Amino acid sequence: MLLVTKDLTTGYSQKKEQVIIHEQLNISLPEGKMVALIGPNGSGKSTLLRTIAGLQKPLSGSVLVDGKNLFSCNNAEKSTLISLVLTDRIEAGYLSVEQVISFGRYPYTGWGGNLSPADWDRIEQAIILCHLERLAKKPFSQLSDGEKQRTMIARAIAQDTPIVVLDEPTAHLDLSYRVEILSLLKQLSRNTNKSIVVATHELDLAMHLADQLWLMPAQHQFFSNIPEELALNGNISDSFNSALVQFDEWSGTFRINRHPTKFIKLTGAGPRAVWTQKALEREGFGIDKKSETEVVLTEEAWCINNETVLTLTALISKAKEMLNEQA
Amino acid sequence: MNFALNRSHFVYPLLTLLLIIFFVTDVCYGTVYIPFSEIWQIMAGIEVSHGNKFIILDFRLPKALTALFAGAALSVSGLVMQTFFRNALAGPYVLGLSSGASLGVALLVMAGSFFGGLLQFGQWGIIIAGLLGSGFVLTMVMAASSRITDSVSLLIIGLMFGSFTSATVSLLQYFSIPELIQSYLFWTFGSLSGIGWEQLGFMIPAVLIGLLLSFSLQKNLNLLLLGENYAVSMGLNLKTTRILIVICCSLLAGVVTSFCGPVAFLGLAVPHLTRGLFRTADHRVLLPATAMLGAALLLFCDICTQVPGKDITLPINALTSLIGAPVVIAIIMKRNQRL
Repeated sequence: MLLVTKDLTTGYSQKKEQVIIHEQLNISLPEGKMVALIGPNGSGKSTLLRTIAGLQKPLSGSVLVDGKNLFSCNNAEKSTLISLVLTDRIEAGYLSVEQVISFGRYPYTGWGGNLSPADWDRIEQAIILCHLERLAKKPFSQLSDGEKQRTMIARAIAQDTPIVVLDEPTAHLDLSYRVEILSLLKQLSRNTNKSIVVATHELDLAMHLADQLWLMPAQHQFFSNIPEELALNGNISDSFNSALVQFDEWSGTFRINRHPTKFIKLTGAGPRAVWTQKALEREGFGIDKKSETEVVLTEEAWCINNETVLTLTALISKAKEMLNEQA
Repeated sequence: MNFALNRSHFVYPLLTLLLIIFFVTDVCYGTVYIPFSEIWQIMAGIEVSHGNKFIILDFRLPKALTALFAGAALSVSGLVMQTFFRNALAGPYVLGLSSGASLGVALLVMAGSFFGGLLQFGQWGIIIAGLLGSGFVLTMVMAASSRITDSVSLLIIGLMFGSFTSATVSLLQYFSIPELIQSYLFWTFGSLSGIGWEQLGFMIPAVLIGLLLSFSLQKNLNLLLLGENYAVSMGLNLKTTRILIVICCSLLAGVVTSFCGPVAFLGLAVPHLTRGLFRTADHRVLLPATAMLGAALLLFCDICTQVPGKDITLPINALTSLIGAPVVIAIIMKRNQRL
C-alpha cells in the first residue's frame, strides 16, 4: 500500500488569508521503508506530517492511500490506514501496558470495545516485536520514558495499519533510548512491511538508519532522496551550514567552525592522531603543515618540539605554554 | 485487565449486597420508629396503621428510590466528565452544570411568574429547564476546553460559569415575589425528600436513559483516556461523542439537580473511590461500578441524616460534603505526591 501525494500544497488559513508552506509536492512513501522527515522548527514539518496523517486538510492537492483520497475517508476508515505516535503525555492511571496496547485494536472492535482472540494475537505480536514481554502486565505509569514510547509504538503496531506516522518519538529521551527507538522503527518497517514516517531532529541517526530522507530546510524547500545522495549533492550542507557549523562530507558529521590564530603541525596516524587533533582544535589551535611548532606521535607518548609528554592533557598545557610565549 | 475483572468478581456481589442493605435500612430507619414487621406488612399490601403506611409508602420509599437513582446519576456524570476533560477534579458541581440547572429552574420558577401560569409547566417544565440549563453550561465549558489545555484554567472557567449563573439568579430573585424566592432558596439546600411518586415517574426514566447512554459510550470513553489526538487517530468521532456526552450528563446531573437541588461532591468523589476500589481505568467496569457505589453512598448519607432518637434531620449536602471533602483532599495530595 502506497501513500502518494499529488500536487499537494500544505499550509493553513489565517483570517481569510492562506499561508502556503509547501507547494505542489509530489512525493511517495514506499512500502516497508522508514522515511525520516528532517528540518528545523518552523519549516513546515509538523504541517506536512499532520496533512499526511489526515489530521489537517491541505490547501490544495490530495493525499492518496492505495488510490483512495485520504480526506474523503471518515475517522473510522482513516484509523485502519494510518496510526500515529505523538509526543502527547499520557496520564494513564491504573492502565497496564497491555491495556494501552490493546487500545490499538479499537478500530476493529464493536461498540463495546470487546477484544476477540484474533485481536489478542495482534496485541501479543506487537508486544513481542517491541520487546515488551517482561513489562506487559506492569502499570504504564511506572515505566521509564523509553519504555513508554515503545508501548505507544506497540499500540500503533497493534492497530495494524500499513502506514505509521511518528512525530519526534525521541524527544525528551536519553541517547540510548533514542538509538533504541529509531533502530526499532527500522526493524519494524522490515519485519512488518509497513511504511514508517518519522519526524525527527536526530540527523545523525536518521542518516544511519532511514531508507529515505525528506529534507525540509525551510518553507517552500523540499528534497527527497536516500541520505547518501543528499549528502553528496550538497543538500545537507546547504540546509544546515551556518557561520557556526559545517557539514563535513568526509566524516558525515557536523563540525563547529573555529577561527584559530595559532597553528601546530601534527605528524602521526591512527585514532591517536584523530583525537590529538580534536583536543588541539577544541583548545583553539589550528592544524597546519607549515607551522613551526610540531607535535609528533611516538609509540606511547607525544613529542612537542622535542619535549616529551606522557598524556594528552600535558600536551595541551605544553602547547599553550609554548605558543603563548611566542605571542 | 484480568486483574480488574478478578477483583470485580469479588467486589460486585459485595457492592450489590451493600446496596440492598442500605436501601432497606433507609426505608426502615427514620425519625418515627416503625417496627420491621410492620414495614413488611405494609409492603405486602396489608393495611395496618394508616399513618405509618403513609410514611413508608409515600415518604421513605420515594426518598430511598431518589437516593438510589440520584446517587447513581450524579456519580456516573462525574466519571464521564472526568474522563472527557481528563481532569481528576471535574464534576457536575465544579464545572458549573449544577449551576446551569439551577439557572434553568430559577428562570422557570421566578421568571415564569412574569408570564403567569407557571404551574402549567409542572414536572415536564422542571426537567426541561434543568436539561437545557445544564446542557447550555456544559456546551460552553466544552467550547472553552477545546482552546485551553491547562486543566486548572478549565476548572476556573467552570467556577466562573457557576458565579455567572448565581449572579443571574440573584437578579431574578430581586424581581420576584417572596414566596417564590423562598421556594427557590429551599431548593438550593438540596433535598431528597421533596420528591413524590409523580416526580419519580419522570426522574427515574431520565436517569435510566442517561445511564444507558453512558454505558453505550464505554468504548469512546476508554479511547479518550489517551487524549483526544490519539482517540481520533483510533477512529473516535469527536463531534458525535461530545454531543452524546452533553446529552448524557445533562440527563444525569441536570435532571437530578432540577429535582433535588444541588447535591455536592458525589460526582467528584465517587469515581475516584471506584477507581481505587477496582484498580482499573476501564470504563466497562467503572461505569456500572460507579453507579452502584454512588447509589450506595447516597443511601448511606441519607440514612445518616436521621439523627437517632431526635427529631432532627440533617441536610443531605452536609453529609455528602463530610465524606466528599476529605476524599477530594486525599486525591489532590496523592496527585501532587507523584509529581
